[in-house]
Amino acid sequence: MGNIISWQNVSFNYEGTKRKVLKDINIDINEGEFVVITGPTGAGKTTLCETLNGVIPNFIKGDLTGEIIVDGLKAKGTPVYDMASKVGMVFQDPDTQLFGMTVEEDIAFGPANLGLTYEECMERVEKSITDLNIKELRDRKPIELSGGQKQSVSIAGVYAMLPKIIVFDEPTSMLDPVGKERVFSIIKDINKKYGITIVLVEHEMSEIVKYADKVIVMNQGTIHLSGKVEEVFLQVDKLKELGLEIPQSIELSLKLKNDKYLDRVLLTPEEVIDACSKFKPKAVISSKEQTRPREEKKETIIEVSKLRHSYLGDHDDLKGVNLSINKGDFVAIIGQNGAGKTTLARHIIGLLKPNEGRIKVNGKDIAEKSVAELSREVGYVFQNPDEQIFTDSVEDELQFGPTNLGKDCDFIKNIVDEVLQDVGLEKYRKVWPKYLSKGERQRLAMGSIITMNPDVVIVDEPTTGQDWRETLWIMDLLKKLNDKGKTIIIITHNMEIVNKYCNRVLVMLKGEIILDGTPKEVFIHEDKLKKAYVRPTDITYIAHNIDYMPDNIISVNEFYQVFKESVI
Amino acid sequence: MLVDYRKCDTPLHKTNPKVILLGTLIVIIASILWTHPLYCIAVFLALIVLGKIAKFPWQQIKWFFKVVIIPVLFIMIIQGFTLDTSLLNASYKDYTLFYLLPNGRVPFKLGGLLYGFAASLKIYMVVVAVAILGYTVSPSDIIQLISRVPFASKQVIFIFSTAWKFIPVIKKQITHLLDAQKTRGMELEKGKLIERVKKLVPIVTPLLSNSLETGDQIALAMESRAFGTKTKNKFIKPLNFSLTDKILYILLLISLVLLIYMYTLGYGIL
Repeated sequence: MGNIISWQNVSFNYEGTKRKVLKDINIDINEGEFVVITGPTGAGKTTLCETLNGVIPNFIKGDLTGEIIVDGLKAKGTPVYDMASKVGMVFQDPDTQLFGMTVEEDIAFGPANLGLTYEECMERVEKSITDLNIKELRDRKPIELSGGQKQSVSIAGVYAMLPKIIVFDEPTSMLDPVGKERVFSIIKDINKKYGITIVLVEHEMSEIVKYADKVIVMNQGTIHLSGKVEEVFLQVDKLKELGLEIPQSIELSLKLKNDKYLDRVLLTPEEVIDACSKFKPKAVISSKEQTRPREEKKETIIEVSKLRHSYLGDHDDLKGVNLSINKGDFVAIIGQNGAGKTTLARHIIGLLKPNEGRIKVNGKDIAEKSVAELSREVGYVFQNPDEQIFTDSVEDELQFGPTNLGKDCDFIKNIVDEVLQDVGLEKYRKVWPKYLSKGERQRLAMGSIITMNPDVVIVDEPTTGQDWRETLWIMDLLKKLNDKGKTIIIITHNMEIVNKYCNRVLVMLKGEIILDGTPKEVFIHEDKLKKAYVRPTDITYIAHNIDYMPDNIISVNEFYQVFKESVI
Repeated sequence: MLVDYRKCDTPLHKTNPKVILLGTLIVIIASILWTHPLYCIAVFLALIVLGKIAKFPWQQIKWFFKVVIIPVLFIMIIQGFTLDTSLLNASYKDYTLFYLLPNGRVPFKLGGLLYGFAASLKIYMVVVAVAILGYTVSPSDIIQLISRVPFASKQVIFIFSTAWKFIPVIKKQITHLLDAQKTRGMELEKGKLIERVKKLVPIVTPLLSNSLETGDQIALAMESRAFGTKTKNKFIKPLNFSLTDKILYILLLISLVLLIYMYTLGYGIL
């Protein structure tokens, strides 16, 4: 099949700036291909996609040079709405791309704008909901849907316009694992079954390898690597240099290949399972043989007893939760959206009051304390940093909390200097926070809590929408705090960081804690995890599916060591 | 809307929106013209029956009934004491129920009380009628009806309907910003009114910038789905007008004419 997209010597800088965010891009995409564009934050991935449908330079102004040919049409001079029938675009946030009062109306929005009659629009709606398998959502209101359902509807809305190309800009960054799986499966179907060319901007490398025909790795406005999936992922060092996440199946198979266990690098967990299952084991190592090291008795810092909460009164969102967290713990709360993770956290900081039960922090009941009083002991970093940043400069933001707590000037000055360094924002001291990147804003939000010096820091989804390098930066910062004796609680969907950083995991399902233990203890319970819609990391999944491997493997190195000892 | 639209299988939901809209309009006109409590009670009871037929979620507007009850009682008491009953026709208009002060001073008249009662009932009538309309007719059908009015601009209607839909998004942003302030040690509930208002100032900038950003994203997403194209939008949802709808519509039109005519004859007036 021929080219459907061609970027020819494309460069771009935003209006009022001289820095080129795209530098002499030359690349072609064939019709029907599934192409993934990845790279660190700020690499120019979204900018490149926005040149495809004329958003740049029509909507976002700047100096665009070179030529972009999309299905024979020059994208540069064509308005966005005219490009819409050729290129559909699905954005990160589903809430800002649903316009109808019902799903049906929303899907009909695009075709109606193309000038189709009501009957023609309804035919498109029918096709869209049938092909994408979302018939049950037809009469629902978009506002009532889950994140994954909303994003499925956004895709259906674009698909109904029958474009030849659909661009997805990190479509799953705001979704839980169930939502992600749903959206990825839809994207795959659109490409494989209906032949639409897919351009997907994505950070999650382990997902990429399963679907892509071609991968483009961008860095600082240039194409750093491009080619078939296996060609690109074999260049592990180059990917690591950019701070990109290497899928665990590739990392493992690379190690096994170096030791001559495998003759090639394998891309997916399934391939690794197949290959490793062929080896003969010396003996099956049982996970039960591994005992938990004895922990010295720690002081309890948070005690939750019989906590019950209901938002609407018709069902319990928390069903008598009992929990005790020790000083210095690094706890992860996991589970699908709506499981009660954030509801539990918001009770601990006093933003929600229980219908029944009590919570003690540092041995004292918090029922009579205001949120502001409690903030001396428990800090809370919101999921979206933009919802907790108020002031005009980074420095003011860091001062805001300690000033409210009535700390003296010297204390504030010293702690702000210290935290500025810890969060790596010294050079932005006087900068308006909106000018920072999302990762930097997340660090600032965390810094603004750290300056209040609470005993417990709760972080709601600290790594959502961040690239791997930024993810590690943020988690290392929390680890440093933990090393200083602070208790850290994170709510997350990222199992790799759970394994890497947390000493305790709480799995929640429908308002209850169904598993509680170290990552090794928790991730062997495959059935319960499945019920809670939690998918362990690829390496744990691989170990679970190889008969002779123990179930409690949580890292690539561990797998590698155990494998070498286990096979003949 | 007080109550959100819900797609249900009831006779009212199946009725043509035009009929329900006309019915609501008649209730509004009646509430303007009528001052007699018996007439208002009759309409109010009819609305309750219609609500029952439509499986209207009364629980959802219970709060409104509770909140308005105090001003309603206040209106009735004030009218009882202050209304110039010479404006009324009823024979019992000057019947005095009691005097507030000794020696027959400040009388509380039946005419005033009933007038106040009717005025209060009219508030409930309109609110219930509009709530039933909102519950039984999809907002997009209402927009479609309005957009069929020759001078109505589709663009303007769309802007309003989109803005309406994004109110909850903005509300969520405000709640998050206030919560974030509290978790940063700000005592929002303490202090005098002015101090408390001052504490809200810091959220104005992020709220504005977040809203502008959201607005930008919405505009971008809309253009990406061909909004603004020069092609003529032919998306007009056919609204089925069954025989029952036609009969109901004609009956309602006759009722409207009768209502106005009877009013000119003095019916419905206290």
